Amino acid sequence: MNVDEVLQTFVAEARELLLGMEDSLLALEQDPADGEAIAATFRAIHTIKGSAGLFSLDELVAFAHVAETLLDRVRSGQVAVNGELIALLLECGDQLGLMVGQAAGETLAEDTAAAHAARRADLVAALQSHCGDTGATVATTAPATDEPSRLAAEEEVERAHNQAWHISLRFGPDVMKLGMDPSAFLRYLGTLGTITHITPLWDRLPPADEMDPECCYLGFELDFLSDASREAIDSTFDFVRDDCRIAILPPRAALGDYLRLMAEAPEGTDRLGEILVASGALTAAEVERALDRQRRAAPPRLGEILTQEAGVPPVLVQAALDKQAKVRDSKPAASRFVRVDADKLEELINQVGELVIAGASAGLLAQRNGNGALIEAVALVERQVEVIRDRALSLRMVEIGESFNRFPRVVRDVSRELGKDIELVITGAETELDKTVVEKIGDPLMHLVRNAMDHGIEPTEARLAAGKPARGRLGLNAYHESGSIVIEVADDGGGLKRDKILAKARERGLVAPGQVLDDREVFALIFEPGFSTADQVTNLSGRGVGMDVVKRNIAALRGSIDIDSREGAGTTMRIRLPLTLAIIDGFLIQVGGSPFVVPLDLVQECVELPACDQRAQPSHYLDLRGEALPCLNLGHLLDLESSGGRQNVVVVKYGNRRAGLVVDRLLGEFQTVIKPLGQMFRHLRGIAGSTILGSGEVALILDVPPLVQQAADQEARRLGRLG
Amino acid sequence: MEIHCHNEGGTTRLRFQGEFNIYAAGVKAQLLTLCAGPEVQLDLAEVDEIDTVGIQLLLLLYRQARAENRRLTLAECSPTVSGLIELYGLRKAFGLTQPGDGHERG
Repeated sequence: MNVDEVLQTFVAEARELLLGMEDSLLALEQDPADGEAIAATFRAIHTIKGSAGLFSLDELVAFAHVAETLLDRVRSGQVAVNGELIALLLECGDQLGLMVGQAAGETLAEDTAAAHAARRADLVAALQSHCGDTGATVATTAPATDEPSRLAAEEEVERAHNQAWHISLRFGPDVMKLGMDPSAFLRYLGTLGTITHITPLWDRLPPADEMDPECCYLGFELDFLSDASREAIDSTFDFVRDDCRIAILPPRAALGDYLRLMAEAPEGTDRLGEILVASGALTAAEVERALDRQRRAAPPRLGEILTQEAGVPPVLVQAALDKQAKVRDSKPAASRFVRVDADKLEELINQVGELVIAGASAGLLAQRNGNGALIEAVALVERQVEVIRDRALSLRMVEIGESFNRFPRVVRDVSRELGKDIELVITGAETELDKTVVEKIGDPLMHLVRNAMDHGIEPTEARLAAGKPARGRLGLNAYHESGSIVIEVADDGGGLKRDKILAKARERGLVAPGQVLDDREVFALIFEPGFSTADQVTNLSGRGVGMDVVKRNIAALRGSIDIDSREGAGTTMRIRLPLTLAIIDGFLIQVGGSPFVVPLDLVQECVELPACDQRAQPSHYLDLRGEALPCLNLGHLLDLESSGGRQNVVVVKYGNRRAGLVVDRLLGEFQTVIKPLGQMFRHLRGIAGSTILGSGEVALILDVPPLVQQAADQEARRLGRLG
Repeated sequence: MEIHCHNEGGTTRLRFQGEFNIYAAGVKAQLLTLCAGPEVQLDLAEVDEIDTVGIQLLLLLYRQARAENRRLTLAECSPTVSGLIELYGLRKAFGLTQPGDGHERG
């Protein structure tokens, strides 16, 4: 295996883990008692440390180790969770991210690198002081005192007499399928010390017909005499930690820890108690005392108490327990995914594109040939190709949540910096879109979010004065709408000040005096280069750069952005993007002998151009069932001679605007592989790309949004002239 | 892995040869059929490799036999087999005598 490749995998995984850790820390900030979040944070650091060790990234390992030590204490309840701790750990996450980046070959300027190194030293000191250590004496504490329990704080800890480590192992079902054998771990353990007693547990072995020989059903309770450090013993199981239940109790562990072990054992408290006594780990009296204490304290099975004493219906309790189980199960689900090189997907999609074109060509020939059976067979093939096309494209579809999940941290940091209290509400995170689009939408979104927090949401005093809740609300939402994905960034802040924008635009000569603009047009002015109405420039935004870049980035994805805003109530920025950049369902039309394609998703209906509107004096709008529909004559627009015959109108809709395109002929649906136009035609408006028809002819794909816009503008101009 | 089967007066003797590991996972159904007799002896002396897959299949056969009140014994074990049984602490489970089990507590 190529080392570079493995390193890339490590980097990708480490980044994922750091992201996950950030989420956990933010969750912890909301609920400092969230044990799952603490455990997840610990696991992330631990895994990164472990993998970094494989690549001899010593600096990273050393740094992660200090953080891990602190987290271990947090996990065991020795160190309390507070805001300061979380801020510290978040910064550690950032440092780890930087170090991972360096491992991946990213280089920093010398002075920034030095600054980071200094910062890292500060962080290490801060971590250690949180640990309650003055120096690097972390590992020298005796293991027995290193292992506290919750009960320790409450009453004097009663300890077991067992002089050996006690290790409880339940291997996950997939261990062997992953190429590991439980025996390897036991043998390795044997090199660290002596296994004095082992109790195999195979209760989980299912009935003969259900048993899968390649699944692991084994578990062990073992006692282990060793001088090795906890870390060394712990690291034995690094490769199976994720899908196994592993508990390691040090010599003379607190009875409370054994109690927890018994309570959590899948075999049940009593059975495990018997095993522990039989193996000599605990004496019968110790087990009895532990159970007795448990009875005196809160009994563990909340479900039972609820049903017996509070009369809660068992179904409800079961549902709640199932839900907990689901939360716990959600992690291994990740192992169902396969990492695939994005280039391979790209190739596959290109190949499918070629298949679509070849299929269209075959279809055309079959039509000409007139052989019924052949036509039918080709139609069948085309239908299958269509399915394959959709599947191939869906492979590249990812949930937009992936790009949303960096925002909780951003909102947290920025709101602190601004001294505002802002809550982030994410909805529609499961909405899917093309991965290439997701990657490119991150920066514009980030800009909009920062902008909304800085300019949108007012300072707390202003909010209270306006009778709004002190806590500002920032919403990120995504949903699908007619072949597009819509992403909204909404705030409940002060809204855009229409008059101020207009005044500024007049001042800068962007709007002619006396020109009347509707709200939408006024708001669109903020996308002009260098336009800013901010009274105050902060280091976040307000310098007048950005919004025009946002608009340009979105336009490059064939998308658009518009703004809804009510002064005093808030602003919603709505980004509309095509779902995919590669293949679409098209609608083929003909103008003056040349074929054109309109994306089918945007086509609402087709009507025949009424006879009175034919040719002679083409009017610019059409009476569509009593509604005035602005029309664009493509023949005139593109300067093509009409081929004669009755003309038709294709009604297209984009966003909430509609327009009619007057064309010569309607040729029907057609799967379209978008071939981008070359650099030379980059500035061409109204044409999105080209495609190849079955006959080998080239058809241009119409870019509907600017056409709709043009039709609307044209109508507005005429109305202006008339008025 | 090869399995040779001899029937002698109601006693089935199965002789295993080769690797009794994850590559032999497919023998489950065959094994269950072969071990259906009232008295079955397993000869594992020629097994030169065994892993958890093999051990779990043996455990399954044992449990099945006990549930149906039949006798199933490990007649012979190669060092590899007894090594893993020892490591897993499964001697008792397979009803083997305990030679050299000196480090057992008590």
